[in-house]
Amino acid sequence: MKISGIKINNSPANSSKLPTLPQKISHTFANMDDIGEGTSIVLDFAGKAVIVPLTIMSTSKESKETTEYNALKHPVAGLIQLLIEVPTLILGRKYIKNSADKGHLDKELNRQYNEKFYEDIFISDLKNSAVNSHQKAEAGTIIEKINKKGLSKKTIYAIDGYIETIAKPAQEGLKKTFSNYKTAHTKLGHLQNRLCFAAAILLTPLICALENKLHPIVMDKLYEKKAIPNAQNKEQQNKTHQLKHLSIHNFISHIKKGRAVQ
Amino acid sequence: MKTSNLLSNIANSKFMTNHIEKCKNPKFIARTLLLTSVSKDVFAYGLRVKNTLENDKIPEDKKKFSAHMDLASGIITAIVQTGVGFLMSNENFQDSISNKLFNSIKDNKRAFKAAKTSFSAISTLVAATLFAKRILTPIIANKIVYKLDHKNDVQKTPQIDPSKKTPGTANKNMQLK
Repeated sequence: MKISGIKINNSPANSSKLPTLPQKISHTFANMDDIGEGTSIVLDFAGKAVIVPLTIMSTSKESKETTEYNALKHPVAGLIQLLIEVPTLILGRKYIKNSADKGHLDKELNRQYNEKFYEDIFISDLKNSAVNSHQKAEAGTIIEKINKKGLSKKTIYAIDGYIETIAKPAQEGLKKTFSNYKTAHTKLGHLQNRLCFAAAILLTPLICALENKLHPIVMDKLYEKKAIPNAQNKEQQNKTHQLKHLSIHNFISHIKKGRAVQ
Repeated sequence: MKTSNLLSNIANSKFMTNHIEKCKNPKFIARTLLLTSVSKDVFAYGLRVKNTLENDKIPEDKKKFSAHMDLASGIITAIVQTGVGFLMSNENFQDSISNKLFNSIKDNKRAFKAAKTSFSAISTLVAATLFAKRILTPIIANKIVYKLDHKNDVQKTPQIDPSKKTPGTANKNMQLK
């Protein structure tokens, strides 16, 4: 989650000065960027690897060993997901974006997913719209932001703010090219989400099969480790028991011998 | 190039184009995301149940509990996630919370809308993905599985048959006679 903090100048939420708690909360949410892919992955992994096992272990009334066996299935699943599903989906998203940007998803004149095409038109119009040094500097900052992070929420605020400062005739044209750019960006995002969902569904049988194979192996190793100190303890107990038994046995035999002598 | 062609055909198909047009509605997006997440989970849990039951390497005493837990989790996650997700994406519910939480920036329409959108996304993620899926589901599944697995335990425990007389009672009966 990319939280910009309270030091954003271009946000519309920064116009008021009062630093009360409700205002701080409001400003933080208003300045917040979209929930990043990274945040979703981290939350999902933390949920699977830590929260689910803890919840199962703390609420189950089954025997400790059975509960443990089931609870530890989830971190194994989380790890497999992190190693296989996450990289596949990240690379898949990049591949879809690259294909769209290169025009491979265009259908004749329909360029609904070609974000790069509309981005280039917008940047060209943005450069042309800047007439004075202040506007040129602002346009330069916006272009830098687009090149670095793409069309983030903060960049959208900055562009909206900039459009309001330029002259009317240029304003309308820039508004339209910006709207086209935003639409292509949003459509591409939806397309990525749907195709990645399809990829995730296709990957699920593979992930479940791997989980099914690895989970018993991991558990066997864990129980082996636990069993070694237990076995050592038992051996120790047996020895002491044998010693006790031997000494009692010796004692009885001594008594018997004594009686025989008498 | 072949993959790109396939991608292009899917992306420009009537179904996908219509679906993406519908995504202009935030409520539709939120519910689509929720339903995709739920269907993926249910599919995965179904596969897990099948795999667990067929896996000979899992000890028999743990296999039953593990499969039952997966089955219960699959059903409960679908119900709980859908319920919580639909509640969180409900416009009236979001409006009432946003009005209270972001009252200080209510005059600034753009900031208010931005704050509301962020809050909607985060609250849905935390409530549906983290709380409903990772906390509520295992708790409910655990309770249901335990109850079902131990339903017959009371019947299995040895009960005193009144027709069989214990030695103590036999003596007492003799004394009474």
